[in-house]
Amino acid sequence: MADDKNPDPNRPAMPKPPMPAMPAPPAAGGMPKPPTPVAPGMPKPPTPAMPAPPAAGLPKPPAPAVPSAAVPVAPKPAAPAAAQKAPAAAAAIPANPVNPAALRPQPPKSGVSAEPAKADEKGLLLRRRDFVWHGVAGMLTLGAVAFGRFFFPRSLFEPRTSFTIGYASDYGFGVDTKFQSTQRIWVCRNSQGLFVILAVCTHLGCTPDWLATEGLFKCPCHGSVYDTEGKNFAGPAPMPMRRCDVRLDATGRIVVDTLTLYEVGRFNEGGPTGGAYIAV
Amino acid sequence: MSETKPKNKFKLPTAAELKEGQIWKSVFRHKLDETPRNRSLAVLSNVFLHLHPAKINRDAVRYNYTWGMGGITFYLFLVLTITGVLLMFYYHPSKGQAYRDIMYLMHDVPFGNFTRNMHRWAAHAMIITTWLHMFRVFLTGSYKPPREFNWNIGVLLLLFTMLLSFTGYLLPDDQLGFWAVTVGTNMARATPVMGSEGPFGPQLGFTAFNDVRFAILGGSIVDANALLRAYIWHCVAIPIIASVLMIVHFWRIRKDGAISGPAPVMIEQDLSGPVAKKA
Ligand code: HEM
Ligand code: FES
Repeated sequence: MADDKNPDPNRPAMPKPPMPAMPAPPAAGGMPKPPTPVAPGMPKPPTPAMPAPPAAGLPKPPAPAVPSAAVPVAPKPAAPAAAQKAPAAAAAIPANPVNPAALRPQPPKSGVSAEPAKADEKGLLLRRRDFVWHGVAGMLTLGAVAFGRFFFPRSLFEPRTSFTIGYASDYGFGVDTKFQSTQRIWVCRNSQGLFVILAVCTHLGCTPDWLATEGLFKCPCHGSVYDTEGKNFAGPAPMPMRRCDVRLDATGRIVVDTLTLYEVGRFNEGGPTGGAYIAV
Repeated sequence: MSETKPKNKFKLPTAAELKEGQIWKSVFRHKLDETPRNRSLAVLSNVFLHLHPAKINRDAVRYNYTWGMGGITFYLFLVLTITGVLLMFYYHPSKGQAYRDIMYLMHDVPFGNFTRNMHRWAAHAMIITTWLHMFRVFLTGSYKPPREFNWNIGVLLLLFTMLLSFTGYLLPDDQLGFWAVTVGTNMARATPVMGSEGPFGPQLGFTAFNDVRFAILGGSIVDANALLRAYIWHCVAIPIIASVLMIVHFWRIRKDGAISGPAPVMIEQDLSGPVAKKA
């Protein structure tokens, strides 16, 4: 049988391999999963679940190899009373993976039927062990959700996303960089009107430099180049730089909104009242 | 005996007497002369050494089998932990102050520049050795069962090593790190489902103010919150996570047949299923 194989060479050679501390399937009824099906009641080499099995490899079911209080005393497997008792008793076993049905004495040759397992499902939360584990899982889940939420602050201490930049008459033709370091925008003016470019490279978000002598925006990160109106023509940038919404307030000052952005194709959605540009 | 001893005369114990004394014996629990048994005991009775087997396969010490890369990577992690903790004594993770602290470390703190350079070079080296270690494991086929679990632990360790490097990059708060982290976190916008510009992100209601990038930065821009978060991930959270993974990694190496060793023979009925059985 399997036990004849050489055990882990790191361990002392022993005729019978030492078993891990987990409750192994008891000789009776408790069937190991697929690889080596063993008929219940068939004589088996000792697979002691714990260091000192009472009697090595008892072939007869009513005395399972687990020396534990978990074994119901009354050998009346079919009686409903025993079915009630078994799960409670099983809770005393210090580790979980064994189906309690497997620990209950069963008539030889009956195999493990689905019926006893069903009876256990009914009392899932009534078993102390399951109750505790469900509680722990619940707390951990709550904790994980709270932990996740913790990383999303409610208030931010960031530059305002809506602000005024003065009057249109303050700006001449060309690119004005005076709000670059505080608001990350350039105020630009051409024959169509005044517009505000968001100073964010459309490649991966660095701030390009305005090179006045060359009349170009160049991004120091990966070399994208844009013309005076923010249209990309070299480097990895996939599209022109976006423009911020601009409006005139009641006093005639220009209000910029850096959260309302216009991408290429919508650049002429403006006019006298504002939008992608203000006709001034 | 006490009657024969002259009063008030204290004599320093000799080395030989010390070795017989209780203090010595409480520290060194066994004899130290070079016998195979004592050498094994030295490993087995020491909490640090006992992570290592007392006896190893002779192939395990052959450099052409392992390149020693895992060990070097671990050594570099120790160097980084020690130099990193030293840097923490002078470093404040706040905007403006962070950069000044780096300048201060480099130009004024005794051995500050040396410590910083050690940290930086070891960080570069650790990235390289981690990859080389992975490459070696691939070449020797050591990712195959029963070591496939440890390969996956290794992939996580690689990930966390890279994250250590990425989070450390922002800490000097200089132009290089700032823009590198700007670019790196902008990529996170494109995360599927969780990023505001990734597949399904906008449809699920993600914006620059609630997506995964926002959680990384603690805001919508790389600013003070991002610096503090990078600092905590870098100096506390990721080192702890990586240490736990290393513990599992090293434990698993021994359980899976040790360095360069044959896979352990398992008992058939202990294996969990036909797949594991075949392996
Ligand atoms: C284990 C892998 C680690 C890697 C790859 C790594 C990487 C880095 C990098 C690339 C920097 C920027 C260095 C610079 O620009 O000079 C840095 C800085 C820093 N690291 Fe680490 N680190 C590691 C571990 C640690 C640990 C364990 C600590 C502390 C517990 C630490 C504390 C620091 C501190 C305080 C700084 C800022 C000082 C500076 O920039 O010189 N690091 N780290
Ligand atoms: S971020 Fe501007 S070119 Fe990459």
